[in-house]
Amino acid sequence: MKHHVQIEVNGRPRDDWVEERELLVTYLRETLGLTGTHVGCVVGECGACSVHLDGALVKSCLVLAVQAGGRSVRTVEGLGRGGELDAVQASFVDAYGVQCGYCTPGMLLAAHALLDRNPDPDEADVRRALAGNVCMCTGYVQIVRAVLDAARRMRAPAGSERR
Amino acid sequence: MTSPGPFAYVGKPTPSREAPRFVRGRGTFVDDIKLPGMLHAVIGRSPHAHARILSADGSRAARHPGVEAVVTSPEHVELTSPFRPGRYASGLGTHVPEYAMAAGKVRYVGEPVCALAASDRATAEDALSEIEVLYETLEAVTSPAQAVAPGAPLLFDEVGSNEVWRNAISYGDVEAAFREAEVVVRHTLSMHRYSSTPLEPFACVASYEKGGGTGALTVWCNAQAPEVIHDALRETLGIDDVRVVITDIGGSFGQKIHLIRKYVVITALLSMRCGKPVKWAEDRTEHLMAGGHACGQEFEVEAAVKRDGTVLGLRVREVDDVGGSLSTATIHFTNKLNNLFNTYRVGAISLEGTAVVTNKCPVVPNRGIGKPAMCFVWERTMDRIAAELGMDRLEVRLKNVVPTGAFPYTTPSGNIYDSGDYEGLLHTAAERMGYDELKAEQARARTDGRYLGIGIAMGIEPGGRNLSRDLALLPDVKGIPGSGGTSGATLRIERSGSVTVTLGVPSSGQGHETTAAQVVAEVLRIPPERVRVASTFDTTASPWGGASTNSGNNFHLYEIGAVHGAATQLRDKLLALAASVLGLPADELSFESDGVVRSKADPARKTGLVELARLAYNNTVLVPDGMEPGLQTTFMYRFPHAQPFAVPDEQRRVRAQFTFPASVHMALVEVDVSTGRVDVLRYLVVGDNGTIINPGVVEGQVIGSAAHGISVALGEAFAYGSDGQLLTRTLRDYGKSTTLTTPSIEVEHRGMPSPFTPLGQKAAGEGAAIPSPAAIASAVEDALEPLGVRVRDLPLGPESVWRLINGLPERVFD
Amino acid sequence: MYPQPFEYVRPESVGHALELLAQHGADARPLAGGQSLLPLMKQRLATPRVVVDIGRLEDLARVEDDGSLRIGSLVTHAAIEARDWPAPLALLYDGASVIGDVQVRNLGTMGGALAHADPVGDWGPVLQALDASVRIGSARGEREVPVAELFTDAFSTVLGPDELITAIDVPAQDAAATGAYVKLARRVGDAGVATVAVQVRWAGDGTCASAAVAVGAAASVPFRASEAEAFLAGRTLDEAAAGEAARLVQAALTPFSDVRGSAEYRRDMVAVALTRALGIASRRHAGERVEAGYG
Repeated sequence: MKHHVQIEVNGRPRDDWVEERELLVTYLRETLGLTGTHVGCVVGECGACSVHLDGALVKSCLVLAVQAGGRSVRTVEGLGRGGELDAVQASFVDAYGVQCGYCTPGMLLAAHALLDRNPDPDEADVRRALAGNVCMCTGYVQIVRAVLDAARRMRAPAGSERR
Repeated sequence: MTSPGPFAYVGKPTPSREAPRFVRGRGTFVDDIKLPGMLHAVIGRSPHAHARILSADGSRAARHPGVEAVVTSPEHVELTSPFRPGRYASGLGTHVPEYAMAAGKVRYVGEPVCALAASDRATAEDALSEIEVLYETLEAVTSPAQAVAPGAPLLFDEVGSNEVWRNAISYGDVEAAFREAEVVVRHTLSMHRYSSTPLEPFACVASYEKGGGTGALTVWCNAQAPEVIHDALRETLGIDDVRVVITDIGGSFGQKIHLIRKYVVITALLSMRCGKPVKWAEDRTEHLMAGGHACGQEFEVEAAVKRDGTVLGLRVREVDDVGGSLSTATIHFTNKLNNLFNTYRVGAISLEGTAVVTNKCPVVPNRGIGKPAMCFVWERTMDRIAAELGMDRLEVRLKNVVPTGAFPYTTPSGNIYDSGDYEGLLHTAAERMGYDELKAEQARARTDGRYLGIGIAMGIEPGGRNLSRDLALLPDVKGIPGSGGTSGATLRIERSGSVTVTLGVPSSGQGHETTAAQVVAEVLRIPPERVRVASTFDTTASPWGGASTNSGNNFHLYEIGAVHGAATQLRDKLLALAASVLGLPADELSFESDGVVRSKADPARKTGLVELARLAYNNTVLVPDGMEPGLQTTFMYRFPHAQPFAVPDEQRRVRAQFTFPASVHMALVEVDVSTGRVDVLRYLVVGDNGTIINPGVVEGQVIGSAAHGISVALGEAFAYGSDGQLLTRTLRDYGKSTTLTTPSIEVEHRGMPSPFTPLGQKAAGEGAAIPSPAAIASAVEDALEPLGVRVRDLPLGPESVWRLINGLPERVFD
Repeated sequence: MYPQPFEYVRPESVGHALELLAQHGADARPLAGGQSLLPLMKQRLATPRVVVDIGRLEDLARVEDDGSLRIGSLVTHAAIEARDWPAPLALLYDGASVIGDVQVRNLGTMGGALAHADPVGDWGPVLQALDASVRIGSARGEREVPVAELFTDAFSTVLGPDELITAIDVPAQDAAATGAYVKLARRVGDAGVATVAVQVRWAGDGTCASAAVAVGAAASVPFRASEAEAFLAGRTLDEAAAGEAARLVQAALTPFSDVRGSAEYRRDMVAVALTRALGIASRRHAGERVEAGYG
């Protein structure tokens, strides 16, 4: 049976019909073609599917699409503006915090969730904020560096950060 | 010919060109691919560790609404041929046919026994339970000791024993070494089953079209060795026209070489059955159960030593628990030829090994394959020698390393270490870590009841495969495995002057596009941003060969060599064309940056890349005789310094690999002796990766592989019950490290260029996963020295350490 | 990866939710944060025919703190973690901060976690040490059950199929009371192997007037260690007292073995967790700011 949902995705309103057991991650990837959010596990322990739901970092594989009705979702595709990378994305690129790219979207959303509430984190804060996002390639050091760099960039006076 | 610099682009932190698409979420992973009419597959797997398949009936599932193809084990044996035995199984006495699915018997929980394709994934999962497979369960064996005990159930009746392979090799006079020994140091060691668990599990899309002979099959898959997939599909399905396309891979680490071929074949078979494209993507539980594990290995080690710490020789006996398949039974043993002598100038080694099958997941290559264990053997033994002789652990290593100045150094087994300064690495590590200060801090901490430990390990990271290596161990094997290796690169300069590179390997996060562009830029003297690197591998278009796997280990040699060779060919052609255009001899011209070719004597006379390209493609009457038009070349690289010992000689000496990075790892840990928990306070890698092409990329490889080795030591591990059920079915159960449990790893580079490679580059990939388990073991033993604890086995999760401290036996899972 | 097919209903009110549960009984499961139920459903270990989504019921998501504390069952772990609790309720912060990870804490709820009754769950021992009770609603009425009596077995509670936890009541604590929750695990961030929550009421002379000791992750259900509590009453909380209390807890313990820890390791770790929890409660009593966390 289909349920009617209206979800705002990356700032745009959507109007769709979803099956009960359609996961939010499936809705994003299959229905909306937003394949940047990835699936890496079954029980929601890898974080590759992380998105923002009403501004909170969640694992979209542990949310039914129907639960997201009336809410707003932000995915990696909603970062940056007009093809330009935002400060967090740019920092990940510059700090070599990206290897295979599979954990990257989830990491970016987790970083944003941290910086939204704490613009001046220390390393321990960053590690704690990203503890639900597993990476098998990098050993995390360059990712942590990227998040700290992003925080610095975002705290810098407007106009002084250039991409 | 080495050109060790100075470099314009090599060695610079050129921005990653892969990262921009990944931070936008615009990578193309297999599960992102959608084809019209595509169905979704699921694999049915054995719930039993050991059983005979009595029957399988897919008819009810076939009637489930939305299901369009079903294949069961008995059917697939009719429809497909077994895999041809490959190099990983070379030398096995009895050949037992291996199919994509289990055939007749299941030998591990999770082994594929059936599959179906349906309109969507959820429907496929619903229908799967309707395939009825009847089993006769058999007793399972879950350890080598159990498997070789009299009366143990046999996994392969045809082989007649669960000990499926035995081999031994020795170099130098081992008997003499032990006769001359003043002290013999003995211990037993072990490493456990683990995996590199790439974040993206196996996935593929298969699209078969009937007609024109055996039809045409295209697969998209996240496999890292295209040759394995290409061969597998042709051999098992009898299709000539096979195209393998590989886009972005979410991590591979060796895990995506071997067992993945089964699933590509099964998916292709489904597509053949229903005539539609079929996508299959496994989930994490499936991958942990059946994707492949690194081998659990047990060792008995004896070292012949002089009282001054000189190691005269080593005897190693090894038992490998290879799981429920024969097809990879030998690799963890044969791979030890790569780092058999580690960083040491030792005259004699004997290595004896047996491979024992058990009812567990088959073993596969994994970030090091056998080399972390060989390094563990060496480094634990060095620590033991130091302890028994009352020597400092750094001293005993300094005593035995290949001396600086002895390079290129030929080991008794025929490896030629290209360059190195192992003493320098040790001194630098000790200094940078503050070794002496740390020892003082450790003494102070002990008086406060705190247990700090300093760990030391060093290891080589052999790179660049030589297919003939296994012939040293298997002199009677002919045909496979071959010799040497090759991979290629196609380079094209367009009429516009832009440059495109097509690599002969796929990529999975090692920055291949970035480094390839830098190498082309270096040779052609244009900025790397002007070099486009194709990010999709395609067997019909990419110049691949017998060493085309994407591992950093092979890439640095074969692929960088190919890229460099292709760029050099085009540069030479540009010079020759320019000479023709300008009417001057080529040696009178200088090849400048930005594609300008200028007369040395008369600088006003010059030409440029765009002009030359237009001529080459569109003004072919002016292209000199004997020269091909166009500016495109494919270069297949062969290592030019493979002799001596390119193939094993009568003494079985062979170049197992061709370049030899090395590193020293030092770790500072604190052990909570009440709980057994180990915290890594500091971790340092001082490494020699030769000429580094991109420092950011290499740092990422070193840190990433070190982090994995540390996690392996600290507890990530598979656990099986005595009935063969996998107890660790989630990443959390398995114990994968997160940001909270991975230390901040420091890396210092002390690279010495290789004299054998075009840029002096050496491997930079899995290397830091090789010494890191030993470094942690060394640190924990050092921390617990006042309690008399010896660390011989991994992993060192809190309970394991607690058992060591309290003198309790190792935990057995029931 | 996908659950078995089910019917999804989203009730508009708590009353409607309770009617639906009464109607469907054991065929239905309430869905709160989904961080425990959805993993089970995705692995097809739970196969409810009807899922009753209570996640939007605002009435269940409030924290009322006017003398006595009532936490709505849908309050998330993150909300508990973010709240500024007075010292006698530090246990609430301790417990919330070690549950899962950021993502799980943002959606997972206290009521959902309690109803799930995972033996390694953190709220069980924490709320037991605070003498909390749960309010349980059904179409038949309401009842109250102390958290110490809520769990009957691993993943089992006294809740009937038509019942829902609506709130958790935490009684007023002594103004000078301090507590601590220590979670020992294989790795930081993992599920607990042995966890202990203590809440100490202090006498004027610095001895322990009374203590609540609740043990989690080591047995099939969390429990109050009453013999150890009786022993500690009136004593100075020194090493010897902690040691004896630990022995009494171990005597009352039937630990289980799983991949995270053997029974004998859990038994030993309970003692370590208790000693450390008492130590931290004492240091907090002395005014020190101490993290409890993973011990």
